[in-house]
Amino acid sequence: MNNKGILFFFAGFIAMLVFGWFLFPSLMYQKLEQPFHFSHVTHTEMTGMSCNDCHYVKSDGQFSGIPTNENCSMCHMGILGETEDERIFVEEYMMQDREVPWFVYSRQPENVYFPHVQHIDFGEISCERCHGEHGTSESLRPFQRNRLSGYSRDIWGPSISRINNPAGIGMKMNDCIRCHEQSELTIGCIGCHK
Amino acid sequence: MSKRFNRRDVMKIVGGGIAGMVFTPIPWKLIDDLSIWTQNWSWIPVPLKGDINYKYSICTICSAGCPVRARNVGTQPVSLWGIKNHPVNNGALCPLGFGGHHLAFHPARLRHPVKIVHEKNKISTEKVSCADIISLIRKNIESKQTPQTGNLIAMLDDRPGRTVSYAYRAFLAQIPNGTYITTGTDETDSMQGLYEILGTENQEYGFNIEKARTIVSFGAPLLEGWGIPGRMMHARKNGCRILQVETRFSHTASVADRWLPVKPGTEAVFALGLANVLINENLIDTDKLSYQSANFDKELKNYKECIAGYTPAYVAGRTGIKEELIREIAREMTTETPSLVICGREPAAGPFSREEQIAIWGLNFLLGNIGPGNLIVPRRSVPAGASFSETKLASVKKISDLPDHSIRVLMIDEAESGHAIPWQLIERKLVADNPLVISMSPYLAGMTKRADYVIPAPTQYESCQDIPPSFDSQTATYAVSAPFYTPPENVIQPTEFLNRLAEDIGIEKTNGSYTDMIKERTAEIYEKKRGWIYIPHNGRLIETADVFTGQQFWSHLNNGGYWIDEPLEQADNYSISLFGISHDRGSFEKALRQIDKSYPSENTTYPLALVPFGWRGVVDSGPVTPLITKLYQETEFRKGTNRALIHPETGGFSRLRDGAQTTIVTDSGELQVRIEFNDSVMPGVVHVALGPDQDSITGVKEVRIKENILSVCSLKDNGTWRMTPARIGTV
Ligand code: SF4
Repeated sequence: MNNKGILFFFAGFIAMLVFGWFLFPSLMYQKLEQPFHFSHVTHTEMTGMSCNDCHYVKSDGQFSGIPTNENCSMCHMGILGETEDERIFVEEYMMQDREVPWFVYSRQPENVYFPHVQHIDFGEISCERCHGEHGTSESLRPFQRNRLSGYSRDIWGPSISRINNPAGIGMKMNDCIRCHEQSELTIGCIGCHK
Repeated sequence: MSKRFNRRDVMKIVGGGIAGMVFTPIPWKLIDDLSIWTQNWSWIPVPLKGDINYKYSICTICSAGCPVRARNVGTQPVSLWGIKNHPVNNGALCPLGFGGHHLAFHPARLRHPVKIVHEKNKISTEKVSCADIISLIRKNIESKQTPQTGNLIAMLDDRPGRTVSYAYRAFLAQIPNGTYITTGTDETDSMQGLYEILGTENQEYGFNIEKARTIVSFGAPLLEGWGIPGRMMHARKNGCRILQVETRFSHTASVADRWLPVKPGTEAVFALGLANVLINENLIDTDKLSYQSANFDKELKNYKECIAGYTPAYVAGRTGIKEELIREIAREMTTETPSLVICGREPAAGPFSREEQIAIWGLNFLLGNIGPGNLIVPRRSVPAGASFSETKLASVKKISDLPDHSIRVLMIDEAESGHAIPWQLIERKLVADNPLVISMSPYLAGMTKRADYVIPAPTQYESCQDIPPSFDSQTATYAVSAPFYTPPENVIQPTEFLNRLAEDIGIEKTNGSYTDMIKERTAEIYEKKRGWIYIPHNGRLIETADVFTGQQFWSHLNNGGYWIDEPLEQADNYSISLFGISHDRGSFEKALRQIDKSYPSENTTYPLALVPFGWRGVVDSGPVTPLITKLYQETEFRKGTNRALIHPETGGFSRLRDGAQTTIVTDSGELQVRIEFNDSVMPGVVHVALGPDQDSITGVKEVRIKENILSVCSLKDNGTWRMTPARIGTV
């Protein structure tokens, strides 16, 4: 290969590196706005609520997940405050008895069984370990939906390379395994894939 | 350098781009996302969403009857789990049981009565009506056949003791030449030798495994699936030692405290060698034994003479186990006490012969293990239910005891024993000219592929089924497997089919539905007011006497409760026969000499010993759950069908390489296998695996009857096929 050939080869090589590391991740994920904004910090700091007031483990061990209108109805039967988001929530959802179609950042595939109760109550893991600072957020960041799999970017984690992901970042099977290994907990396939 | 940008330059840029791509996340991320994408195709079933609730029931895949807790979304079970600390199985399930709720959706599922059209090794199905099948059976019943031309109307049931088994027997007792048969391939059959020694057929016995400190297992797959698996695992956790006497380095042998690799077919010789040491070194408690058995002194004298030749030196030569080790094991059996001896059966290789069983079980008598409070304890039978207790029932016969070509109509109950049944064992009993074989099965798999017609039966968790005690249970137990699903429209309960048939031929039908029959049986158990019922919801044992009404008792059982009887306290005085009641010393010795001669084969045409092997619940070619594919197809943790394990030395002798395709040739035919070298296999022995058949995993469209290793095993007149002289051919 002459000099020109080497130059073109490297041009292609470098262009692909730039594409692969910087453009490809944003192409793979589609940014979707949540139906309206929700401030966790308003709920926790102004009303003194904690995570498990809304996202709690039921008496039979099931996790309640994202609260439904029924949970919110205790305070939001009418419009509280003046924000546009509050108006949308009350008028378009509460009053019309429609559940809010939230995009769930940490939704796992159907073949995964993740018992919150085991991790929170028995493992004594804090919510932040997997969900980060979500509980103190002012508003909801856009949901980054993988164009192929449909799952959230939070599952893969923010770093596209996934190299040296710190504990609590990413929610793929390897992240579960790593955490279990660090805690010296063994679990077979059917522990999560029942 | 030319200034023109040409096609080659484009190729170089593309080449550089492709090379660069390897150093970006693109290929790795796409592989990952694509694989997840394939899980989300719209036609891939996903668990329902909705309220989670829990239901309790019993697994009926095999006769162990393990209790399960189902996690349901609405009415759909999405996972099954054992019930922690359950007194029957300590909460353990086997891999088959974990996926039991998937079986209703198996691709080989039948949803309509069908006729099976047999072409060469291939079958197809045509829809028929249940009435067509009934009229064919009626014609056969009415045809004036004689014993010479074969006239038996038989029902094959390999899970006797269930309420449906009594219904079959009541039905058969009413029709001319009605015969109720079992193949004797289940685990109960390996206890026949013990019953022969104790001279009893009607008294049931079980094992107090929890009390044993040492278990000497003769080929029983104790830690893979024997009896109720959870009991054995629990005993092991509590420090019970296992000494495994087995030619093959099985999974159980690999985790046992000692593996005693005897040459194939010499297990009984090894047992008699142990008996010889026990007696001659005065390691047995003669006072206790003569107290237990009125005729002990006379029996012992005879027995001692009979086994005098089985000295450790002789046995060492025959079995390949060192003389000193034989003595050591015998001594260990009397120091690491209480020690139990179990005569097992390999799920694929089948049971030991009756004489081998007697030789092995006899050790328990010498160790003083039999009787209440010991390791082998008598237990009560579970009553059959009021209507069957007063009805004439056809007697239970073993298929090998029937004359060849005597069965004209064979109906098969497809509840599997989990153990292999060579089709030849059944085929040789069918009339040569046009036998009629009807299978009552939920699937087009296993023996059903050999049938002429199939009545689609409900499968796991689709109908109410009852669970008599497992053969190893130390007391009587009884449970009811409550359904989770409604069966498909044209599925017919076997008792319902019998009732339609009874109506057609003008004999008496059974009372009520199948659930009513089971209810009637529970009523009889309740009336005795004995034992306890375990309530899985709260983990409590309630005394049967404290349950207010029979209806309440039924309701507990129908919600996953398990009835456990009290131990049977009966006088421990027996009249025993160490040669078995059907033998005298002469015939026992003769049979032993023959067994002793069976290995090594003197046959130069077939110099190898072929011994099949497999795993309970899979070898019967019935449908298996998706979890099993992980064990067979993905990890090869278990060896798949027709994988032949040989020692490299045997391979070298036959000029074979590891992984070669070749044939195993025996007197009964030949079979293509794939060779796998394995140092743990004895030279001169070939172990061929019997795994799930492909159709029982995936239920393919074109169903074939594939031959497996059982088709080339030589079936003896006593119905056993443990070892066959063979040679390795080449393809
Ligand atoms: S041992 Fe038998 S009854 Fe128990 S879980 Fe396994 S298949 Fe089911």
